[in-house]
Amino acid sequence: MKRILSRVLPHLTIILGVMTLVFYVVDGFNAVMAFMASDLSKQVFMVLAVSAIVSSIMLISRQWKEDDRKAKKAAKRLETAELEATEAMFELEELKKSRETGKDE
Amino acid sequence: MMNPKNRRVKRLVTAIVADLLVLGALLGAFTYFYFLRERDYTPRTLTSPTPAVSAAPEATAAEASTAPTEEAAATPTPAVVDTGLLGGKFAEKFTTGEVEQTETSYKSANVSIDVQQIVAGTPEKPITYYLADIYIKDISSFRTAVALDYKDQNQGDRKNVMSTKQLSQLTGALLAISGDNFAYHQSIAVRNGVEWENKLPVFGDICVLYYDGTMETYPQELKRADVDAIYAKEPYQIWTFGPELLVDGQVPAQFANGKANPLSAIGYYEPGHYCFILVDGRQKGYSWGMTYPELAQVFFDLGCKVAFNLDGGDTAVMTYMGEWRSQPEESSPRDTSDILYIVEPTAASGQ
Repeated sequence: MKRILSRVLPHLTIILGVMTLVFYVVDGFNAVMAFMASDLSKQVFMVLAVSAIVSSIMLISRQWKEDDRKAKKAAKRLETAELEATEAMFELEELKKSRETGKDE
Repeated sequence: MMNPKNRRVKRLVTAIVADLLVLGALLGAFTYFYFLRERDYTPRTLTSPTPAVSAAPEATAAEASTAPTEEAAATPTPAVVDTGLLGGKFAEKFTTGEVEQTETSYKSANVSIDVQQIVAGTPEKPITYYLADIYIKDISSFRTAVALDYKDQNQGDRKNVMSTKQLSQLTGALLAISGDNFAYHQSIAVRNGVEWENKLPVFGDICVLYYDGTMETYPQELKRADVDAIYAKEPYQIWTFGPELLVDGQVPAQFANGKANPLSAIGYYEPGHYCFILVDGRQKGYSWGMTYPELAQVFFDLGCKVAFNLDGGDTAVMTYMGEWRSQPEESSPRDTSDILYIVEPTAASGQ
């Protein structure tokens, strides 16, 4: 359901947006036809507003999820890098120690 | 296999085409519900000081298709009906009983109509309009007709609209102009004391003709209490369209629309004295049309106290004795849901 909504709502928003623009242009030519003021137009604007709000919320939610995913990935990468750095430090310490032991002998 | 770029273009084109198709379908549905659908009305007779005029005088199909001839239109000596609307003034405008009819005027003991063609503007942009000066002794001479009342005579597909000319012939109108086309708008519509619609908010300004012959206009922002106050004063006709062309007898400083168009409007001097103005337009070399400020100025210069604009554009037409008086742009102008017309008073015509 959510997937269908996320696919349909942006199209509905575009369609109703263009419809509103058509009303606006026609209203400029003949305001007495009340294209921007009729009850039916108001319902179109209401559906447009709901559709725009829901698709925006879905888009924002998706962006946040994406941000979280990226942050998680970055954290994991950092953790791996830290681990690798610790291992390298340990290996370096070991090497230093073995060199010092060799000198003493 | 299609490369990714071509696939993206194909997907974009498909989406645009699909969206446009849905847009077209939605605009079509909007047009149907907003304009074409025939709305249901339950006309209700309002209280009136005198019995309300019957909404639709019975007319036969034969009468419907025949324009009244000069002999038929010039009703021989209608009975005198004087309810004192003009307070005994303007006696010179009326006859003592006989009917005097010319190509531009009609005079009887009850009704006086004088229609003048006036050319204004400039040679490059001429403006031709028709001014009908109307005196009536009884308010029942000032009537409106609704197309829905003549469904049986309406040969068109849509029964809620009809040609102004046909409606004027069906009603036996001496003079008629196209009305406010209320079938297309959410409005308050009272016709001959019968309420057709009473919905708020209304889509335009309001004009009320009361049984005592007075006329008032009100701005669009009416509240239910304002409408109740109007109803308490017993309205005979209510039109919703506008704008009000005079406010407190003065030309308003601003109008929303400044374009020149064909216009149809009504003016009020005093109870019993009115005028119709029909402005032809959109016809190069004949008439450019008028803007609201120009039309308001004409009413102001005439000395009207109230003036109200009705539906204009292709709808705006005037008939005299059942024939075109104005010169519509199209041979068959846009049909209308209603007309305003002048006849001999109901008591005199026996309706």
